[in-house]
Amino acid sequence: MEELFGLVVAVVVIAVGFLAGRATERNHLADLARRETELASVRVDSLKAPVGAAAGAPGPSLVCGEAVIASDAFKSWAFGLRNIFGGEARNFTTLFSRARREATLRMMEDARRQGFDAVCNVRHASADIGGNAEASAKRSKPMATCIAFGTGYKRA
Amino acid sequence: MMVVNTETIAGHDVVEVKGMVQGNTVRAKHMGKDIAASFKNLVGGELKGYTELLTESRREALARMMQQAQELGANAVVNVRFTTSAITAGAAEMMAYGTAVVVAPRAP
Repeated sequence: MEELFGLVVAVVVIAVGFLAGRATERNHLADLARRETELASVRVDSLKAPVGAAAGAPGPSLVCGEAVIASDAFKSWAFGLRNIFGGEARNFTTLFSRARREATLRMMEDARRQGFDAVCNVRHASADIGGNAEASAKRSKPMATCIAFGTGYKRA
Repeated sequence: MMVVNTETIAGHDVVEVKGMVQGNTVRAKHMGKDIAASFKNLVGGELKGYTELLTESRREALARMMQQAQELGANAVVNVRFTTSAITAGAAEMMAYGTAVVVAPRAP
């Protein structure tokens, strides 16, 4: 009886994760696409130095953005299955690209706030906040963490 | 103080290199945010508490790095990088480092 109850709880949790997680992801992707179009005028590149910076414009400055996006119960469960057979965990690939796009957008928003229209030398970094590197697979809370930073400047 | 992650600053010349400067911070998140995170790990979505933690850590690390640069008599920090490392579950170190320099506007 107790095992059955446990199974029912697990199924409900995964189902809730699937429905809520899918809705969250869809909204987030739509929001990302909208803001990316909005910020299309901010040029972002990974070149070492600014190209065509305006002379006498407000000096270049560091711009940053960060985002931490949680996995949902369904994604985490699906990863467990994927882990048995190996191969690409598409759910987590998407999760990470969401975090990276969000962090990049925040960096671009930071640049625009400071009056810049270009960001060069963009770098991405990550952090293990949840301590997942040490936690056992069962206890870990999968989350995608991304920090994006670069040098903002004004184009001529 | 100018802080950039490029090696040079457009329109400026590096006239003196003061040396490497760095700033770090280890921040712990509080339990309330952990509970919220557990819930978010069920339904997905942004862990705003953790994002804030990162933002605060980054600002603090940068501020400490700039403090060091100031003490060296620099007016800019170039080639800034960030690095993080995990210490234990619930705490992460954020470190900012770069090269403290003295820059002067380039004569036209």
